[in-house]
Amino acid sequence: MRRVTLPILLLVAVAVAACGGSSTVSAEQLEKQRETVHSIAAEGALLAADVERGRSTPPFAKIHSGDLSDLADRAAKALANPAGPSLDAERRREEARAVAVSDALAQLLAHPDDPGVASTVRRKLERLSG
Amino acid sequence: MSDAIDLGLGLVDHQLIDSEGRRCGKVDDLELTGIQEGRLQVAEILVGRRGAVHVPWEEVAKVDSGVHLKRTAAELRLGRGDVRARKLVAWIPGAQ
Amino acid sequence: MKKIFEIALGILAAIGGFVDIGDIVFNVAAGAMFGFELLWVVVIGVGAIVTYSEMCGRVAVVSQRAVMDAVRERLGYRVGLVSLVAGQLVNLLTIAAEIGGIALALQLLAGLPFRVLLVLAVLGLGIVIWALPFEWIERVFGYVGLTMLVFAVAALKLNPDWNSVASGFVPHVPSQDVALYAFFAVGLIGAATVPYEVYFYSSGAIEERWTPKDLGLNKANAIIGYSLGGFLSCALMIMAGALFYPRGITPESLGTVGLGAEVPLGQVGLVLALIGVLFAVGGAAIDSAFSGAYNVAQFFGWEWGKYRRPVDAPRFTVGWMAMLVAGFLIVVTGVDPIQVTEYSVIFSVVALPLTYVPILLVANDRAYMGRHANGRIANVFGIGYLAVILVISVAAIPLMIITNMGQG
Repeated sequence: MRRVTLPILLLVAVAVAACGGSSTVSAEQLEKQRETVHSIAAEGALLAADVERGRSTPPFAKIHSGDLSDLADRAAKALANPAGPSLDAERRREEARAVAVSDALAQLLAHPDDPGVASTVRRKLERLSG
Repeated sequence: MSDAIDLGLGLVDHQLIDSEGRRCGKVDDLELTGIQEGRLQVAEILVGRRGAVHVPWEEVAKVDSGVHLKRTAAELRLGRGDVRARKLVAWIPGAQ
Repeated sequence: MKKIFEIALGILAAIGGFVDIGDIVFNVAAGAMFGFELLWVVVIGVGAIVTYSEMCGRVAVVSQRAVMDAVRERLGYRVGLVSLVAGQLVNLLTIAAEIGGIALALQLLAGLPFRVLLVLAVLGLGIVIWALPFEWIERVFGYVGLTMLVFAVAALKLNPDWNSVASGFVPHVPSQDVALYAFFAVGLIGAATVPYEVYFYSSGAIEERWTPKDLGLNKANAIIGYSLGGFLSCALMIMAGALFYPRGITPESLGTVGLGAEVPLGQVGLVLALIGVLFAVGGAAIDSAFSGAYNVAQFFGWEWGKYRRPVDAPRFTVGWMAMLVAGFLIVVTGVDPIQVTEYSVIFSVVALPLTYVPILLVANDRAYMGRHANGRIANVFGIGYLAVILVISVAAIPLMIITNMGQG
């Protein structure tokens, strides 16, 4: 009985460790998400600037801001898992940033032809991508 | 037609074309005779997997990049997959 | 006069065939990730597709056999079947990517729900193919697809550092991110040489009844048309390099491509760009639907051709319809069309030797080609590119895995 269960236990331990590993955010993953959120914010700022100056079309602004907002949401979800203790403060900051970016884009999605809203969104996203 | 043809490169897997210029299958296999006499000749062309249709060599008019036949595909019982598919396609307006 | 017209037609078809969703995705991504550093690879890609198409066109005209015909005749049934199956799998991925791209472009133009547009796209394509003769299909999609030139205007307006652009055309290896760079190099060449282009080009030569007299035309078509397509690819990369690269923006959707025209050129630029994308990708979808039908019909010897009435080539007709439906079914599952695009390009690179090698063999076969067999220049390019193709074919999947499909 013991000779059989030991390899099985080892396998289970490895599996648990592997699964456990993916539910904490590594430094590499944190950096990757940071770059992603920065990219989304920068792109969103460009879009918002165009809407502000009447250089876009409502369908395009609506669809694209929606897509970007979803991407930011996904980044926020990926950042929702705890990181190691030294990284966790930074992780929470990045998660908050992703959520803020997503919210700003959602405002643009709801008002795709409002220059006033676009102006506010642009300034927010420029700050968040800085 | 008495010129020697490289059976491997010149015949097998080549396009069959009927007397009306319709494509009607590939030379999938060959039935050869004359092995005993030491002079191989093509007796029949076999078309279709498992050699469903036999086309006697006499039906061949010319061999260039394709194998041209003396009669139509319908007469030689070739291209029947198209006959079946035609029934489907004919339903759609403008198919003629 | 007729000659000039025919040349123009061929060029337009080539542009439509060259710039498809794969080129758009990879050239914009490459520009965003590496600025102008991969421009020289676009030139290599143009050389590859020119060499490949010219050989396929010449083989088709001289032997009256399109690609899959020649593959079966040269490799036999069993080995040829491997090429057919691989080619068809790639065609399926490609058409799914193109159909998805059409729906995305429509969505960015009209804002309607994606799945509705997907149905409209497939129905629209089906009706166009059914109703229009072969030459008209190519003309319509080719001409309107030329609005893609708005990306060249956008690139100019963005005022890139032209010195950097120029040095991008000099082959070099980067100092960091070598694997990612290599991945994009492979993807760029792959996107330029997607197999449906040659299946379609060689079958088109027979559809349009080219004769050996037209072989000069064949060369002109290939060189001018695909070069223009390469020019558009460079424009996409320069636009991305000038706008996205400095801001650390990584493109994740087709909207980013539209933004690249909108920022420098406003509403007009955006709409023209989206229309250009719609027709370039639409033309490519039609070409890949036909390619799927051509391949099977040519391999098994069935009657084929858009020049035939549908009832005279019924299995071929069912074939292209089945391709449209299959592409639709793949995309309607909700998979991201941009991801499908990436996979379609990478797998097309892996399968590339399976159709390139037989064509190279046939093009050199004097018994087949007579005095039109490959001369020395054709073989320098033909064999040179064989080496390139073999290298990228082997490297594609490892690079895809190492770089996580270019995510870095």
